[in-house]
Order: sequence, then C-alpha cells, then structure tokens
Amino acid sequence: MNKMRHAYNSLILVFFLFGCTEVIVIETQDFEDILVISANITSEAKQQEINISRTYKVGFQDIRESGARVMVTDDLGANFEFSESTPGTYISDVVFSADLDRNYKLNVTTTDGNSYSSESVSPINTAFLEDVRVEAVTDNNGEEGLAIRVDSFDPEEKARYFRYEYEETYLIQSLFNNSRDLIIVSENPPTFETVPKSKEENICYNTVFSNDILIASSDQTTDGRVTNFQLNFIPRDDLKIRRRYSILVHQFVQSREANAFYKSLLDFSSNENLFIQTQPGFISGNIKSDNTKAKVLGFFEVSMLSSKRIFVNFRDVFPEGLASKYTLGCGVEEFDSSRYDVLISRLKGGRVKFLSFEQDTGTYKVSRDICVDCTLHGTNIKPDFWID
Amino acid sequence: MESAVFVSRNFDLNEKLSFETGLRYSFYVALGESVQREFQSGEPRNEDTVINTINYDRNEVIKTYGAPEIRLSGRYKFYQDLALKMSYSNTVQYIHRLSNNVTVSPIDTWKLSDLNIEPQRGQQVSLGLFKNFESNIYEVSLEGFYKKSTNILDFKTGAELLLNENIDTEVLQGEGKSYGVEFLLAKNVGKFNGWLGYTYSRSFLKLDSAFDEERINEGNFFASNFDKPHDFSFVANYKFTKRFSLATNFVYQTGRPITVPVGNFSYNNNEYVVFSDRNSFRIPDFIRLDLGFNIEGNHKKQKLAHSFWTFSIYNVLGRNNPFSVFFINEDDQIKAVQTSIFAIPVPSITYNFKF
Repeated sequence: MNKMRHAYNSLILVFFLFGCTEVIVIETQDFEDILVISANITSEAKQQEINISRTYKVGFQDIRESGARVMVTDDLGANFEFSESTPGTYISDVVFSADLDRNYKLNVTTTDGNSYSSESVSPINTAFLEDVRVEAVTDNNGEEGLAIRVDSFDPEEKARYFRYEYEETYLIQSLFNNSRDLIIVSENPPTFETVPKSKEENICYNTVFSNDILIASSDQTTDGRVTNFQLNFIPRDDLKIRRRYSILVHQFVQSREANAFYKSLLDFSSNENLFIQTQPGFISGNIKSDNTKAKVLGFFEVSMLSSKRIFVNFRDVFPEGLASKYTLGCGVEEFDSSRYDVLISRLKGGRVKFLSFEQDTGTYKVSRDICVDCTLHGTNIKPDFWID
Repeated sequence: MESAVFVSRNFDLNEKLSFETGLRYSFYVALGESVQREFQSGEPRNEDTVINTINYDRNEVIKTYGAPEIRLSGRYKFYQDLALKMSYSNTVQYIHRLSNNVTVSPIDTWKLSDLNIEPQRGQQVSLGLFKNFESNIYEVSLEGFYKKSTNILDFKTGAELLLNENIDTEVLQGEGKSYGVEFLLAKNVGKFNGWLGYTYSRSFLKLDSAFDEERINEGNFFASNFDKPHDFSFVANYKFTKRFSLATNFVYQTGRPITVPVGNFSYNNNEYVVFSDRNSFRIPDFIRLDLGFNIEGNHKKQKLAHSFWTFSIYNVLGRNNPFSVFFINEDDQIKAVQTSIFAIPVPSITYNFKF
C-alpha cells in the first residue's frame, strides 16, 4: 500500500492533435555569384580550350563569362594567350600541347578586375588506352545491351587516375528508302507530281558527346592497370546501334587532386537523386583568387591524352539479328482520289514524306517524315573518319 | 573495451579555500571481430589508397589507447554566500558522436575509436561566481568556460551519411574550440518561483589537411553543428492559492548552422549544385512558450486518491519551429524543406492522481 502511494499515474488527454510534422518549403535561398573555370590542357597539339562561366540561380540558364583575359604560362616562361571565340569559350591563339616535363599555370583576369590563378600543374605520365571493346551484356535491371569497356596500362605505374570522355557516331538508315519527293502542283483540282529528292535522306550519321563524369583509378594493390572499366551501356534496341556504330574514347591521365575534384562533382550532380544523403559543402579546386576572397569553382588540369576509335556492327555483337523492329510508329497512310484534300493538308503540314504511287488506283502512300528522311536524326554528310 | 583507475583527494586549506584533485588513467582497447583497413601514408584516406585489409578475430586486439586525465577544481569563499569556483580538466573520449543535420530526420551515430580513428582529447577550464541572496531565496551565478579539443570527428564533404560500412574514408578529424558564459538566476521558494537562464556559447571546428578534399572551409575554424550562440530559458510558477497555480516555460535558441545550396553551375556540359561553405547559414531560431494551469483537488488527508488537473497549452505562440531542415531534388530543382512539430498551439488537459 505504501508503495502504491508512491506510484504516480498520469492520464493524458490531448484534445487537439493536428498531425505531427509538416513540410514547408523554405522560400528564400541565398545565391552566391561564383566564377566557374573549366580548363583541361592536353598533350594533343591543338588550339586548347578553356571555358569560363558563373554560377546561376536554380531554373535559370548558365551565365557565360565574357571579356576575360586568359593565359597559360609554363615554367620556361612561355606564355600562351587565349582569345574568346564564343561567349565564355576561350581558344589559345597558337597550337600547343602539354609536355610531360613542364609545369603550367593558368591566369584569368575578369572584366571586374579580379584575377585568379591556379596552382602550378604538370602532367602525370603517359598511359596508353590499351583496348576499347564492346561486349553483349545484361545489366542489373535485366536489360540486354551493349557495354563499352576499356583497359589502360602505364608500365611505369605513375598514371593512376583517369578520366574518360567519348564521342559516339552512328549510321542511321531510314526505314523507307525511295529517291523521290511528292509536291503539290495544284490544289484545285488536286494535282501532284513526284520529283527527285534534293538531298540524301537514306543514310545519315549522328554524333553525340558524353557529358557524364567517367573516372577510374588503377588498383594500388596490383600493377597499376585499369581493366574492364565500363564507359557506357547501350540498350539493345537503341537506334544508335541498329546498324553501324563507332566510339572515339579519350583517356586523360589525371592527378590525384584532379580526380578528387571530379569525384566531388559527382557527389553534387543535380540529377543525382540520393545526394540529399551526402554531406554538402563547397568543392574547392586548384584555382584561387589573387586579389580578393572571392571563391572559384573549377580545376586547371594538364593531362596526357590517349585516344582510340572502334567501329561495331550490330550483328558483330548480336549475330542473331534485331530483337525488335523500329518503334518510331512508322505506319503507312494511303490516299486515293477521294482523300486528296487530306493529302494536301498533310503535305502542307510538312510532317509526311512520299513513299510510292499506285497508277491503277491513283493511290499515294506516305509515312511520317522521321521514317523516310534520316536528316531529321543526323547529318547526311559522311564524317571523314568513317569506315564502312 | 574501456577501463580506468581513478584517485582523488580533497584539500581543505582553510575555511575559505578548498581544492579537489583527481587523476584518472583511462585505457581503451579496440577489439575484434572487425575488418580494418590500412591506408597509404602521406595520401588522403579514400577507397583508392587502401593498401591492406585486416580481419580481426573475435576479441583480437586491434589497437590500444591510453592516457592520463587530470581533474583540478578549487573553491574560494569570500563570504558565506559568495564563492568563486574554478576548474581544469582534460579528458580522453573513445566514443565519437557523428551528427548529420541534412537528412530528413537528423540522426546522431556513434563511432568507437579504432585503427584509424583516434580518441578525442579535450582540455577545459571554467571559472564561476556563485552568490546567494536573502538567506538562499535567490541564487545567482555567472560561469565561463573555454574548451579546446583535438580529433573531433566530422564528415568529409560528399560523404555518404547513411548506411555507410566504411566510415573511415568518409570522416575527418580536427581541432575543436568552444567557449561560453552562463548566467543563472533562480528563486527556489515562495509563491512565485522559477529560474531564468541565459547562455552565450560558441563551438567551432577546424578541419585542415594538406589535401584539398580533406579541407573544409579552407581549413579555417567554422561553426560546428552544435553552435547555438544564444540560449535563453525562463521557467516560472505562480501559486495563486493552495489549489490554483500557473506554470510558464519559455525557450529561445539560436538556430543551428546549416549548409545550403547557393546556386547551380555548369561544368563540361553537365549541371551541378553549388553549396555554401560548411555551416555558413542557420536554420530559423527556436522560440517556444508553454503555459499550464493546475487545479488540485481538496487536500483532505483521508482521501482515496490525491488528484489534480492540468490545463496546458504547448507552443502558445504557434511558432513554426524547425525540427529538421533538409533538401529535396524535385523537378531538377533543389529545395530546402523544413519539418516542424506542432506549428500551432496545442492545448491539452491532464488528469493526475496519486494513490
């Protein structure tokens, strides 16, 4: 009973309970205007390119930084001046290439009088892109496709960090091939005429550039090789690999610092959904302001470049041929004399292309322009490097 | 496994001056079963610089740490009701608190020292003046402290905050510095009683390294996750009669620091989010007022149960105090989102009984 007296009970009645947590979007976000410098001088002899822009508010366009004075100097006193070719893109006045034995420094002076300079950077070593190959694979989601993989090797084991970029070029053949176009001669009465095509519309080529960050490092416990690093996965029914496909892979040997910078960039890629679970913060690179406390984003990289191009036919990888047909919705529409008025409006709309004409029934057959004219997917000019 | 021996001794030099000294030796052994990794020395600690992975069996010794800890404190009584107290201590802590404040529900995780994570060490001095008035009805104190620490654990920029198995490559250890002044006024007895406290304190952290990726905020001191400079609290009770009383509780705290997105940038044709320096912004301040009104039953001694009613309102001001602030990626836009608990006044009735 005594114990009972000490027992203390309480009964809580909460009358109003309006949910536990609520989510409120915080309206004002502070914006910081920061200079962004992307510079990679490579061992390829060319007019080198440096891009300068500024940070922008979410939902706005990238702001290019014009009118800056850009210069790269080496430790022997050589100065390489850059001139602006398009807003924010600066091209070296002369052709030059990064040399293994040299140290380079970047200087940028913006129109507001601020100047920025990089640390002194030298290329690490040359490592050859030993192999670029394609393999038929099934990815983690069970999707069948083609993987592009690379191997790299530096016998001196100095090159340990790598970044890759690639250019994909593929041949496109229109689903329907004919040599003539249909034109309207008169609307009333409806009269049509077929004329030879003014341009090649059957075989075209398209080139796309990688923009993902592709970085690799050789394993410290082995002989400094990169093996089987996957650059890209293309689903089996992708238009890119329907016929003949080519990939040009560029391998840049990175310094550890440059690699770390790109790794940090990956953490803050805006299309990365899970980034919310990473510790946020400012990514600092190797460029600093000389005369102010202004922050700079970006990295001045000097790298040895090794490139390789390969060509692949769909049937080299998948000998059993195509799994699925074109999925562009390439139906054939027929117009006899009773529907010539509809044909006229279709032709005027410009979204259909002529296929054939049946003399005895007076029927014109057409299909969607994208099924007939490959220039809608690429260029009909064969690239210089293309090998059939 | 941690063990310690402790000896202490008090010295009462005279009625006014007394000292207490203590010496503790703590000893910590990190034991298996565990997998620890060794990293290339002179290189930043990451997946690329792992040179060896060691498997430790159950109860196998991974690493031992030990250190003496000294405690010194003294008191000088100017008068019976006015005293000056001072203390010095150094501590070694083998368990580290890793707090993250960017996920939906802020979670603290605890990490024990191991092969790569060294114990946290700290040294603290404090000095305080304590005074009682009107035969101990009122108590006033003013106390200051300064603390320096080493090997404080915090995340690297870009660290995976949750479900990370290899925490050793995601964290950094650095120097900590904190100081503050605390004022307290209390009235312990009477119809009107309660206390009023105000603390001004700062807590900073410095994560510096020879490597850019292991340096936070250029290697300068920055506000730590626990830096809330102003902390004011007021508790007051007023007894109108034996049966009716009013209780109030008011809290004000500076919002804790946070790292926010400050824009976007484009790099090699891809879009990225740029974040501010670590902890360079703050979430909104925390302000809350609660009121309660108690009605007690009659005070007959021979009653079956002694009972009382409490009518109270939680968060009278209806302030939307943040519980957590985090970021979501919606339609390629980064938005800061705040969750709060009871952003409206919440009335309640409580019935208490004692039997």
